[in-house]
Amino acid sequence: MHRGGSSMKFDNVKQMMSREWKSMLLVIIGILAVAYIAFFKESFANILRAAAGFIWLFIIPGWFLMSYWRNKLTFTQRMLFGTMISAALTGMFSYYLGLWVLGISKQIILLPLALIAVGIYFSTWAQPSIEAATPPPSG
Amino acid sequence: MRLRTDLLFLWIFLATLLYIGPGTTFDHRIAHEFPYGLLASDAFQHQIRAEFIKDQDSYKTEAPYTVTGEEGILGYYQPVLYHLSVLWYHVSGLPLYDLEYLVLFVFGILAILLIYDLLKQWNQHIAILSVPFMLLFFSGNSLIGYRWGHWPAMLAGAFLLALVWAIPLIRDKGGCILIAILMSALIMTHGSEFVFGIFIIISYVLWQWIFVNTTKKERLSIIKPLVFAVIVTVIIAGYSYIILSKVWLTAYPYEFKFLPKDDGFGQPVVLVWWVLLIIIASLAIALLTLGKKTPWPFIVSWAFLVFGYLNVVGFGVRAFTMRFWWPIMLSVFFGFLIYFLLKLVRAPAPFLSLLLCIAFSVGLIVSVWNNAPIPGIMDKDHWDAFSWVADNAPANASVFFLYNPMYSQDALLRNVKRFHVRANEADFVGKLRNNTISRFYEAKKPGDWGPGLPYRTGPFSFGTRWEALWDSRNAPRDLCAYDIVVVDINGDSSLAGLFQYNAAIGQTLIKHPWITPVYKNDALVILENSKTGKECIAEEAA
Repeated sequence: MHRGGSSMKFDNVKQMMSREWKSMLLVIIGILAVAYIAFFKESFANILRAAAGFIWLFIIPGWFLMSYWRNKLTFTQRMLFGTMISAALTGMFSYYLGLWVLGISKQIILLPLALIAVGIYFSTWAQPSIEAATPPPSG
Repeated sequence: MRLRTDLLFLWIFLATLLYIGPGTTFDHRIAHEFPYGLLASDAFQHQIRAEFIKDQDSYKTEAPYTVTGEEGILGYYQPVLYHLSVLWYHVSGLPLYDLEYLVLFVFGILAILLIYDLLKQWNQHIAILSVPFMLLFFSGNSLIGYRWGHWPAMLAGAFLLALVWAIPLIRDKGGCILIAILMSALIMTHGSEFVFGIFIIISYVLWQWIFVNTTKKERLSIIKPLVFAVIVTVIIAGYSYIILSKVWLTAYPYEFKFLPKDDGFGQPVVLVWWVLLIIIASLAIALLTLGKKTPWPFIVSWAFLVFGYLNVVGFGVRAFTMRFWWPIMLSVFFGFLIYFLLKLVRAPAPFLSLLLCIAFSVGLIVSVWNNAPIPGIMDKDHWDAFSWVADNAPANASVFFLYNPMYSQDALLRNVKRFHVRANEADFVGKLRNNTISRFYEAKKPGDWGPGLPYRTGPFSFGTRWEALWDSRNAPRDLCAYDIVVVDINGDSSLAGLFQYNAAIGQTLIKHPWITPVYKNDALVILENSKTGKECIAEEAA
């Protein structure tokens, strides 16, 4: 069956995501583990709430936003830097949305989803061909 | 083998940073019953601003109780820290004051890991050997940035370190977008770090031109992405930059002056002479041995050293905030020197670097790290009382705080979320010594005067209200004219006389049926006056 260039690229993104979901899961478990060590006097429920909020707001959007650079940067680099970039974008656009469009309390679903969508858009339609690039070592 | 060990090392590094940094500061809890570990007024300034933004669901204006009761003052502070905190609060439901503090630490740690990664891209041994010195970030004067409340500067510092990591990507497709996002974030988090961001980009370009690029074409190739980054930055942060330039830079213009220290800042990080000597020796060895191959991490670390000394040319406390990051950015000098010395003896093996890293880390943690919890200047009794006023007093109620030394850090008083004044020490203690209870006490209208209480007069123009209000901020104020009087009656035993005096004022007030205690705990009593303005105290002996 003939498939267009965009859908081929989208397949590549999906492939990438399906390959990295295990690493992502390890990141989530790792975050819970190190948070539990650092905040050992805290209840696990509160650690879970804090970690879940952080992962939803910053880590997952960062993962998608940085998928554009998946051929250039390792998974770890994308996790670290992507979290920073998504926080930067989240903070700035939350401010503008709050001023003119939508209160902060209503942004908690929309804003991360918007950043995820932007990440998917760029990694699908603006991403250079995956075959053309040398993938970085995993890690 | 190398790969998995490397990841494991990163996780252990992360766990250590979390444990000795926010773990210690938070007494190994995330949620507290009151703002925990805040040691100065500035920290409360940011805590209460986030609280107001949460209450308003946006950041259009400042809270009137933050700006001496004035309505319609522009939301002038750079907003990113507050929005990240409030969003996290809405998702997690944990106390906002804890999450706002935690945001700073978490992004600070991410920035440290990025710098570690940057060093690792150059040389894994040097990266590992630099790690112990990075741990010093959570010790001594570096912690002032967090505990004394340089909060937006600390978050902006984390974005600045991310910029250091990302700037080598600028020539890659889309790399300039990353740079633009970070520069915009710097504008919208803390303006002075934006200036240092420009310095970092200049440092990178100079390094490229002097050390890396050999042809004119190569040298010019960085201009196009830089111009594109500037355009995207203007689009993203232009609105915020107008406030930064027209409000903040107008109130605090650059002024060339020598500032060796600043009492309001606390103790800046200082390098003793032999540490400075080691750094200079390391740089000299690097330049001599690496020559044109001197890598970006070395150049930018040197730039950070210079940034920290710009207090001598007018950068003032902004240079001191750069010093908070010295343990991270200068660590490479130590890592490189140890690596160089090792190499003189034999080719370093990964195991040896790791062993030395562990030994140095343990040694430094044991010698400089302190795990004793520091609760800060707030306590549960005061927090409960302030929260009671915030939740129960009428929105237009006014509050008079009788004297307590703790209230000198007056931004914490804003947690009553009402217009308030607080008694000044000299007048109050004078009357205490004279055994006089008075209807009038000199009291201060505390507030964040910031850039002069600005308000918008047009899309690109702003006025200020401070001129009309400044002279009257300290004045004798009528105790009978306030809806709420906060009376501290217990606390530090060395202040027993003060608390007795406060209690005597309270007793005098409640002789009148229209003044009643409405809240009480071990530390303080809150009195409500239902007939404000009516005489409630005749001059009398205590």
